[in-house]
Amino acid sequence: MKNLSFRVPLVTLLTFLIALVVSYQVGADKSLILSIPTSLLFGVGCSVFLVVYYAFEFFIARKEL
Amino acid sequence: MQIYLIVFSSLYLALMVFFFVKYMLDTKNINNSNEFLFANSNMGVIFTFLGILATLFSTFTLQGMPSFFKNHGIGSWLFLGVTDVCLGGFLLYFGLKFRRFASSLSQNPKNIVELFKSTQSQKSVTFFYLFFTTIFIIPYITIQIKGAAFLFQAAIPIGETHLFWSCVMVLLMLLYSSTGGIRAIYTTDAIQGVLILITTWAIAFFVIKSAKGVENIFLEAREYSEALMSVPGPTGVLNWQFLLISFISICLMPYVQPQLATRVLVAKDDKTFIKATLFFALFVIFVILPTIFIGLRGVVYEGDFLVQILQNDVPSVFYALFVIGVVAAAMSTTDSQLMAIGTEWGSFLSEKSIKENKKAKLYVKVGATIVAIISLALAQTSFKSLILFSINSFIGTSLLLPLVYSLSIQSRWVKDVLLGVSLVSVGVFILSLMGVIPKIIFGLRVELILYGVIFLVLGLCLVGKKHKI
Repeated sequence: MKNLSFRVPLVTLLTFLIALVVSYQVGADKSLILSIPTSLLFGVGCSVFLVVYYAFEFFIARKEL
Repeated sequence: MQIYLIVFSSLYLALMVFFFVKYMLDTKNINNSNEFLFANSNMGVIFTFLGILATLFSTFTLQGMPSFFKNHGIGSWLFLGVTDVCLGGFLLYFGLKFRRFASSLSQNPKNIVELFKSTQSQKSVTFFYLFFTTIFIIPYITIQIKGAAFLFQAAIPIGETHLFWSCVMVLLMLLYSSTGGIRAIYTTDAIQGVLILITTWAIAFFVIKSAKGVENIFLEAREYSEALMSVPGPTGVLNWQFLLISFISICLMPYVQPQLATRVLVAKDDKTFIKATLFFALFVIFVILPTIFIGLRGVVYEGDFLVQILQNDVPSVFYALFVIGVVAAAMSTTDSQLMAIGTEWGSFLSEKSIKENKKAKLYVKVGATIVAIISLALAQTSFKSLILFSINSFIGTSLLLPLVYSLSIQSRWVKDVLLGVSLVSVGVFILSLMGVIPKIIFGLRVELILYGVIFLVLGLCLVGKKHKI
């Protein structure tokens, strides 16, 4: 029985750090969408990206599991 | 509103009693404790993911998160929205490793104290883990009791304080956690998971409707305070150090907190566990997203904004449903914690494996009752912030990671070093909480320095393990 790739925790950590840095960088800048701050949209985007990425890793590894 | 509350309370109670009696009768016929405590390690995808989700999400999510968005702004998404998805990601890798490690040991332990016993750890080391876990989990149980009792007292006041409702909550949690077994607890978890989703989205829907659109919610929040629209928020709480500390402490919870560790270990098989983790990561987004709207809408209200939103923006039927959702959230988080702590103490006091101990139920009941009474007493005192208090409880348990990791190490002296690191870290953390030593050293929060030391030592251990030092 194999583990999922070590990429999973690595990408997770990197995504969190990027979200953290971007949150500070973009501050209160408005997005074009409904005046929602860009950093919030980026944060939600990061969460959605991670879920899609995990599903992708599971799809690759499912035969080995 | 009270009529709806009585109707929903009766329905909820009827459901609870039904499952309680069902599982109590089921477990009565089973001689060993494996089914009662660990459901024969046969939990499927839905129960595993709802079990982890509901144990993690508590009154904290329903009451604390909107409050966090109102007081500290949009950085709260990073604090919990991104962090909890990351927790799921780490579980995919480290959770699997944790499961494989447990299954490689004799007796295939399903709780942390049994892991200590299977690796022939000293009793004093196990006691250290158990003692500090109990010390840190009690505040978390306390805020659950307090949160639910406070809301019930606001809806149906009985007496001057929330003492009556606190007692009712504790009695229900205790009855459920110590008599129905883990399957009954998983059932409350499942009900809570569904209730949380329905209520948060329903309230968010009415809040958006009342504000006349999402755009207005953000405009009103921006007018109230521009600082709500950026990190670190008006009071500066959500600074990078706080966000990093909460990220680390939350992501480490499944490996150090007994109720989550057991949920990781009792999933039927690895594939079930992975699927459950994927669902968990997805549902985290769905659960936390509506709290943005509820919280930011709170800026138009003074004082206890959540009660005012529920009274002004939301139909009575959903107000009642929200109260039941909070009760369910408190129930599922607390009964699993009470049962987990009871199980760990039961394991500690048993000479043989707890799975084979016929007195296990008694140990669980006694352990859970003692912890519940202490929490009930603490719930009558006043705390400044529910969230910050529970965050301290997360950090406290996360400092026990070196100790849990030492179970996979053969070398005696390395084990001693890891024990020392945990011991010193917990000691320093408690002293900093008590104000004996400064909370910030060289511009860094003491928790961050402790995590730095812990990860450095764990990194050296990993390198040493690879080179067989």
